[in-house]
Amino acid sequence: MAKVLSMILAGGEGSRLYPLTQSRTKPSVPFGGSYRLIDCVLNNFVNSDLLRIYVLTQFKSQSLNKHLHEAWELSNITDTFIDAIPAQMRTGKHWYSGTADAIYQNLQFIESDEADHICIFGSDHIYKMDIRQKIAYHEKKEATLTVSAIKLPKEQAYHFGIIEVDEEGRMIGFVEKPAVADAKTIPGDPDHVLASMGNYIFNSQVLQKELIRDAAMKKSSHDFGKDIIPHLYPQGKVFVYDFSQNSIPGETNETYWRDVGNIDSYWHANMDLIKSQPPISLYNRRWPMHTHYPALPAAHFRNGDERNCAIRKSQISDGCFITGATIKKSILGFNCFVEQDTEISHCILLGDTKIGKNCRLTKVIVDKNVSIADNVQIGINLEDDKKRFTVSDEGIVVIPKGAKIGF
Amino acid sequence: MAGILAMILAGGEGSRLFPLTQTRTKPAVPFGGNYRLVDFALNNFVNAELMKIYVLTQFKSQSLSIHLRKAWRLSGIAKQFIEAIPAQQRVNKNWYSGTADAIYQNARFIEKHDPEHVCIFGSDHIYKMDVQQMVEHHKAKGGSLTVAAIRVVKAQAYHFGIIEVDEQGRMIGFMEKPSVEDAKTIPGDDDHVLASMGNYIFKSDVLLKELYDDAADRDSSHDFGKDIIPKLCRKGKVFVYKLSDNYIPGEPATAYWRDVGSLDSYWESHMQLLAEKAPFSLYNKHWPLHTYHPPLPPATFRDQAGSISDISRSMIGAGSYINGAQISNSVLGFSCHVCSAAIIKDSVLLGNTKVGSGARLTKVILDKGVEIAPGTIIGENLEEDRKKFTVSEDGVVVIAKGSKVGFEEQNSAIDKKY
Repeated sequence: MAKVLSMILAGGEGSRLYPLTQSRTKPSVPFGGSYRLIDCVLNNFVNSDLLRIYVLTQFKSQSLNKHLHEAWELSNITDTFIDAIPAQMRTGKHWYSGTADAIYQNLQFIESDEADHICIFGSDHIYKMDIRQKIAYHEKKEATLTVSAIKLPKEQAYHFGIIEVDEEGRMIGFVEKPAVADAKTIPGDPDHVLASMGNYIFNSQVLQKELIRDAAMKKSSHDFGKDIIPHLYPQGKVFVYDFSQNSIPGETNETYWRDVGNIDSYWHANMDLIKSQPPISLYNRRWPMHTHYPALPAAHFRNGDERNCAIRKSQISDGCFITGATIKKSILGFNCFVEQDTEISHCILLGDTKIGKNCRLTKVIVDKNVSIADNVQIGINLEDDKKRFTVSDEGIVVIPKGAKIGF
Repeated sequence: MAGILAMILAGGEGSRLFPLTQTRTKPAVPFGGNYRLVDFALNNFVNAELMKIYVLTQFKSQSLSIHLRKAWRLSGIAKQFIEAIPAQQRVNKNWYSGTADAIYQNARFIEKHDPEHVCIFGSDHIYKMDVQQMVEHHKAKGGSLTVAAIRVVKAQAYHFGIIEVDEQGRMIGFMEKPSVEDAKTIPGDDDHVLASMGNYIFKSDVLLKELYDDAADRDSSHDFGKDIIPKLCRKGKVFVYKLSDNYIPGEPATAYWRDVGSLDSYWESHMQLLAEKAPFSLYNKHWPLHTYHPPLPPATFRDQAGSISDISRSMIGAGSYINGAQISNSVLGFSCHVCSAAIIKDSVLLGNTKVGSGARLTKVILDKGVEIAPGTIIGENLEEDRKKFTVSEDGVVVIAKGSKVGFEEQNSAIDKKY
């Protein structure tokens, strides 16, 4: 089999996820109780047996580095690694100016490698993909570049980079966030468009040549979507990999791919996990979701003076200690202490959090290390909440990391 | 000659824990949801930053070896290691005949490392001890051997190896399971005795000499408690270290130490984890309890057709999936799938288990990989249960690993039909 080297772009600031990104880079934002956003893409590679991975970091990466070290360190018996590469001024004293520049500044890692194919993937989307299947497609098409794309209803086109393809799946056009009327639909399917997922497989030689060419262009923004791809596809060797063709044993046929770019989409993607028929499952034995597990006991449930714990449609992680509280449609990360008579509904608790007695939390995201006193209500009166906290368009209240509320 | 080497005895058959030890050695028996018994001894060393550890295995050790590899592999930097040594006929073709023989057969590992002191600890008790403090005590006393002991009420003396000490904490006598009248109490404390915990710290040179002498002695049973310690005790260089003198931040003052040697004590220790004032806590950020954690999502709770998940006084491990069931006073390990309207009470589920809808389990231990058919009732009629399962003296029903329970009747019903 051809040799593959993977570069994961993990430098995202995630400013629309503020305050969750106040102290950490976007790929390091906790997700689904025990995970970080970056775990999704790393599990895609690891479960595809692709274990030669550089993670390119830049913005507030300490939390990410720690996570990579604790969760993703491989034994170095064979030539496998998951290594973080911080931005380190390899080509001059500037930060990465675009996605292509991030790879260009680390070109030496590609040049010194024997890989035939270079996978360049983002790290802030929620999805499962067997990347071997995409590589097989890339090889079959003899492509210089293969771009993953997801089929979406035409009306959503204006959110995404829309790819025009011919009958054979060859890329013949690309428009970033087009008007719905202008978006080119899939041949034979006038209701759907193909949106780029920002995941690329390059022929290594072609990639190196393109990056060097692009770096010399003063007018380039050094971005794959804006500069490299538009230059490459007219040569006729760029193909599009339809994500719905990817199949993972034990998964539903629905293709699930979510950008968790802002607070509302982050909240919805978490809520997807606890739906009765979740569109993405964390339970597939054939696609285990690895992450770091701190040394904690199983979740512990105690009775309150008046009532037992009522837990409805929720996920509760190790180290949680729930005493006579009601938890509805919520996700609790590691080490959440919830006292009696408190009711938590439609919330996401990222972990290491204490919530006092008789509190009401509705549609609240509670970042790590938060303490909430007794009798506090959040998410009930949004006007009040807006004075103290970040409140999203859809009314999700976000309590920032380390906050002490009601003391 | 420097440093501390630890040898953990993990060869125990644990026959009184049968059927939990049917396929695994006692130290590999799961405990407290996420753990294995051996984890407690290992955490006592690792949290004390003593990380040169050999684990001596013998009986059905595959499950233990896998656990050690997954949970306890160290990086190798700084010459730290936690390594399993299987019995491997280094000296002769015999299995270990006693605890001292187990160490004797691996004496070359002690000689190779040339430590100053050797810790020899068991691996099937539940307790927390900062072993470094015992090492300090051992060094300060300057003895050739220090034995860890726990203070227990005199009336229980007949369960244990009872140590007689003088005012200085020097060991002056030892009796294995004496009658209560014969048990020597602690000087100045007529109601209590000191019971040996089976944990020893030896001066390395003394240990090696004693092991070689003992190995040559045909009359010896090659056991630390029966042979080595009585001999050393007479020389006056054996001291006792009391577990109650061990201090761990965040832990209650009362020392907790439990042998989970029988099914009943195994079940009771689990129930103690759930008690309102639990004598032993798994939560202490100053003393994290490391173990292997499989890649599993948080425990998930669902409602099903009007049946809401009702959880009281229980622990529920990651990857468990509770679909509108009632769980009270129970400990569930990793990946327990409990279907709607099932009722689980006073039970211990070791993990990877499926309990069908409407099933009722009372005071049951379910080993791993068990599947319970919908509507099955266990633990309510012990006479019936005894015909099919192991039932302990106190009435705990144990379902052996990999059992499919309640499905046979359905199959035979189908057989009759066709």
